[in-house]
Amino acid sequence: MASKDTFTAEVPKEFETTDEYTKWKEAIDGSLKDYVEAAESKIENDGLITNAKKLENGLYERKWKNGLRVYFSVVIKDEQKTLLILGSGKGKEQAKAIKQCEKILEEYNVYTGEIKFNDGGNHGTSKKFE
Amino acid sequence: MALRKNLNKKVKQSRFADPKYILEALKNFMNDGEFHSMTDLISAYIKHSPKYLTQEEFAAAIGTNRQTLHRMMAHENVSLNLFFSALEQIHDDAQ
Repeated sequence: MASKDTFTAEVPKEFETTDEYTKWKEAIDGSLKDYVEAAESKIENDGLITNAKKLENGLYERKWKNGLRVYFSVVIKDEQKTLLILGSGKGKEQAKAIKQCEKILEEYNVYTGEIKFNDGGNHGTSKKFE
Repeated sequence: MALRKNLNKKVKQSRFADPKYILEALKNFMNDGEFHSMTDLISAYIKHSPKYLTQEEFAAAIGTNRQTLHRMMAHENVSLNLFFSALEQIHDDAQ
């Protein structure tokens, strides 16, 4: 069951990744790669990240039950909202990964608006990402 | 900080273009208890399958429109039948 603090984030379909994330993704084994690359496909196709959790300072994480985490943020770059995939972690690596991501984010103008998905129906309480 | 931009291209050779691979991966996701990630796989299939050039084409194949398909991908309130139809369509494509 998804935890109560997770939500679907509506994000820009184009994203940028750090070298650390790219190297990590290339090194992970097949089954975990499916999770990460399928999630990337959903970003590119739908502009959505499910099972997202808000952390601090504009940082979010995409959670999987197996402990896998991918950290992301929406920033303003060249006057456009841009999705940054900053890093990843599993188990004990998470605290260190979050610190690294927060450090990277210090260089950016973080978008502070709401990114929760809401289709405009009456069953949601959040604002649509604009 | 060096950043790499995603190219967002439809890669026909991707393993996600193969409906049989998607069905196998769905099975693995279920075994792992990663039910919420199943729509990631459906989205990956739509993106990479050479059969569907647009999301509208897949939406039409399962009897809905792109907006409702998008809501399913966002895990908003849509009919369960829509989710089942998407799975059935991938299963049919694998035959």
